[in-house]
Amino acid sequence: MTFKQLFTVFGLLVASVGMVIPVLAADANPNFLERSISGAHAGRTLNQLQNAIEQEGFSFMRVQNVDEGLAGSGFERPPYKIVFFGNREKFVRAREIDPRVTPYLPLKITVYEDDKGNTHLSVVDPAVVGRMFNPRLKDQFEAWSKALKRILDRTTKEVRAETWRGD
Amino acid sequence: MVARQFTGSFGRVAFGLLVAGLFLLPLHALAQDAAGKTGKALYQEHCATCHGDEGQGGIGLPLNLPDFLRTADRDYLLASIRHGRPGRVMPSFQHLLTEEERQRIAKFVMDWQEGVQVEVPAVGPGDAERGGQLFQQNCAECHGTQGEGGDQPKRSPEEVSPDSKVVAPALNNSGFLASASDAFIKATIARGRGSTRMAAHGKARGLSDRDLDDLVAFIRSWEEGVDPLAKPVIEVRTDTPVDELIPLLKMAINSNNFVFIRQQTLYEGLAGDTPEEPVRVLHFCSFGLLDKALQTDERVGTFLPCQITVYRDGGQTVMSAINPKALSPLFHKPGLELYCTLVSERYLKIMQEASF
Repeated sequence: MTFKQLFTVFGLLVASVGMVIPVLAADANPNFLERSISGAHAGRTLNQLQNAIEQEGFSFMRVQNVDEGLAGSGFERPPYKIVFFGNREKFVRAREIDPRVTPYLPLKITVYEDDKGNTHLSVVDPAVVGRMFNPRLKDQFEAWSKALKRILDRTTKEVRAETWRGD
Repeated sequence: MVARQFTGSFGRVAFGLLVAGLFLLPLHALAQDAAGKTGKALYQEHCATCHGDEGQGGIGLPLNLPDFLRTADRDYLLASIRHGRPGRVMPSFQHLLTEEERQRIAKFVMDWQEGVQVEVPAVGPGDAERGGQLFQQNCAECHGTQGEGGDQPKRSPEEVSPDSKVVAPALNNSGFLASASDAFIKATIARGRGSTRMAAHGKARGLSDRDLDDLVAFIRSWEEGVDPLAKPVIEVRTDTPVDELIPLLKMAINSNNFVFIRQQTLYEGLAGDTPEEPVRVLHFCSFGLLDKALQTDERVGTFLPCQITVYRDGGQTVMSAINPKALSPLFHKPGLELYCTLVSERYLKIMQEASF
């Protein structure tokens, strides 16, 4: 094999890997909506996540510091937070159609750091959850799925930009 | 590096097994304690509180009824002890007793039998749709239109009146359906149960052999999707008012080794003035269990926090929770199923204890 042929094969390999990796990084498990941000802290991500949630028209409700509760019982781990948010009218309407959705409310996104200092955002896809309930809720769950994707994308973009700028 | 990764994975697996072993240790120890006990002693310890010292019934159904003992066989009793009746008072003894101990209890109960076992009827292929119509005409008044059964007594056995000792069983219950053979169901419908409201529904009530087969097919059709641990939501309903139920739930949460964290309402912190139907949310946690689950998959935040919601619906108080067991396949992590199942079972137990 000539050097030129070798170079072509190597180039194709690099291109293939380049195409595959981003797909794997985003929503590798189709049941989940997931994003990962290299070198970002959970605190910075939480701030941007709250902004993105409010820009999407939801009320930001609270943050549960799971890591702090675990630490209080002697289980140390990197930051692990759950952000709760929602829309009262949409929840009332959903419960009228199928009260079984009650324990799945409010909406939430999990934010956690790994031991390498990367931050991950994760949530089970509402469109998947919605299949388990009254079909009349399908449109609502799919709308929440789309909204959550936008929230995750906006948060990821803003945090990456901040990290890049060194803010 | 590969070796280090392997060691890390191996270490996590070994640690997971150790944790599972530690959790199961108390159950195993409990089973060891009971290893030398007779069927009578085991019955007194595990069954008599509900079914009565002599099987006369109380909170649980009477077991010493001649018609029941001549119709039920040992397999039915064994399967009932193993599966329990999920969503009802009868717990599963699958992990609390060994197979041998369950057999000793079944034999002790079977020894109450007098007279010969009834001949098992042949069961032909039935028409479930037609059986559904027959069920509504002949059975629904006592067993409920969906086979949900009657309300179980909530007092101690000695306080239960003889009239209310026999509650129409929940025929749509996964534990019942896993225990009862088609022949047992058909024989029970045909012969009825002496000393109870369950009359013989065979020729005496104008039901043909084909009618009975159709009824069996209809009851069997509930086998799909009635297990409360196979649905997205674990739900238990009770007549207890919300304000009386909340303290009972908190007690049940603590007695099941969870730490109660806080109580709030569903819409707390949400903008808007939509009239709020009171939906209480009780948060609690088992930090040890959570830590192990997070080591298996960090995305379990989907289930967090552990919570039970309480609200009124259809004149009853409803307790409901996310069912981790039903959702665990979404993770594609077989190792997570153990923890999800444990949590689901405990949610159900907490709700059952609170509503008892």
